Amino acid sequence: MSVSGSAKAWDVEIEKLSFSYPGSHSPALSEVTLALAPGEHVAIVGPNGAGKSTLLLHLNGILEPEAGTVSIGGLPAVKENLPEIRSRVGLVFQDPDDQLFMPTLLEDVAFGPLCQGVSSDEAESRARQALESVGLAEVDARRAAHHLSGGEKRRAALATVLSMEPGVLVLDEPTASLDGRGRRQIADILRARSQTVVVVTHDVEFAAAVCRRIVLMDGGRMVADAAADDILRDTDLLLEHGLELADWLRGSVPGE
Amino acid sequence: MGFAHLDRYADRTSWFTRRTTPTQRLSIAIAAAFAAGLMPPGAWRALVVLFGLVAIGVWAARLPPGILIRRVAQALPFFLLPALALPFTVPGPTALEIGQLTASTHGLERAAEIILRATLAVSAVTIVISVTRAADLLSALDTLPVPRLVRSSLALGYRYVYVLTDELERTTRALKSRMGRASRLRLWRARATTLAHLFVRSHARGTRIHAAMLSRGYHDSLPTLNPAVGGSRIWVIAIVGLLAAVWLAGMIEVMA
Repeated sequence: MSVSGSAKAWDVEIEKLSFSYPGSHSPALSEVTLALAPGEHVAIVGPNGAGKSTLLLHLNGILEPEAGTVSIGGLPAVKENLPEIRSRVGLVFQDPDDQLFMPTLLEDVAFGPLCQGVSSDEAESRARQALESVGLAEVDARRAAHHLSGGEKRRAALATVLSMEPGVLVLDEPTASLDGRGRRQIADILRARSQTVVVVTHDVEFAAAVCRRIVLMDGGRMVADAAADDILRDTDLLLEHGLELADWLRGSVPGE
Repeated sequence: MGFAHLDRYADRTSWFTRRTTPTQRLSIAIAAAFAAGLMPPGAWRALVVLFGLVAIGVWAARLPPGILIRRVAQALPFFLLPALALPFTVPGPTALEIGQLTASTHGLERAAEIILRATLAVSAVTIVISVTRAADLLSALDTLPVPRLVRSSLALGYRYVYVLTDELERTTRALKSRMGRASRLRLWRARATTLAHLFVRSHARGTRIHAAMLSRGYHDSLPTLNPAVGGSRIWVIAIVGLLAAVWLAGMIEVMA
């Protein structure tokens, strides 16, 4: 069942990507170059304003590059390819209330497949599978999303893109304002995915739990791209770019 | 959860909800509203029969009368205020004098009739929307000749009224916690600023929701799953036929 984790994984290629928001004096992205192999799980970390979310919006064609190129599975993310690009890349936004816009949860999760042109029955079947794959099979999907808890909303937002069976999963701050249990649930779901996964987060521990590779960004530029363990060990690098690890992870328990 | 009461009675099963689909219920409500509105002036007996039918509707839908009265009362100012002008503007024998103003018998009759008709029409619609989930009503609109843009606007409005009221509640709480012994005027000023901020934030949210829709392949209208099926066509034909008969009786009553 592709919804539950075996959709075809696509590679991601970003070449010298630059972008500035209108009216801004400094670029949000400066010559970012990044390549992801099919099925690879990569975390992009960095302080506020590093350009992480801007980079994500380019992967799905929501923003157009000022310079440089983005391609998914060899297909350039340009205007004429956007319907196919958006089928290949599932983008989960930071605030689940932005992602869950339909009157019922089932309609929300079926929205993507229906836009892809699949039949109503197939869309409903995919939606139910996607809800099951994020542990929401028991929730009344005929109710509106405002009945869900914060953690359930996050998982429902993830289901809205899983139902589209994308080859690349892109998530913006998937653990923001979640408790420990909620973070673990999201981490478990993401670890089980066979697709290419890109996670943007401030949460370095979560990044390391889900991804083997971490890319560090600051000021719209990539400043490091290495194995998660290497990045975690380089506390000076993390501190220099506004990131900190919990003390327990560094081996020093407060008060000892 | 300021609007949580919207679906409060929607999950109660009743004779009415068991035998009709949301589309059929909506059709009945529209037929009743048309019957009340298109009755010729002076068809009092037919209006009384219509009143009886609406009362039976309340019983068949198991809607507490107090709730119906409270909900209808919210619409009362919209037809009460224009109707109150009629006794003083419609010519006819004097019924009573209030200072310089003279109320005519014909004007009083017209005002009473308009209030009764409007109350009946609003009651019929209120019964149906009270015992039907808002999401089902929105699906029902798809099967009726309602422009898709109107349906999409209502669907997004229904979903985000909860998000906005939650946001307003949070900001009002934060405001109160810092206002201390502020004067009433200062409090109202702060509330006005809060509303303005909410408007700006809603605009930003709208932009994010649009991006989330585009990222899942949205192009021109919100797709929907199959609306609810079932119900009994015979009962709907019988009820709509009865309403048409009452309207016809009103026509004959006036012409005779």
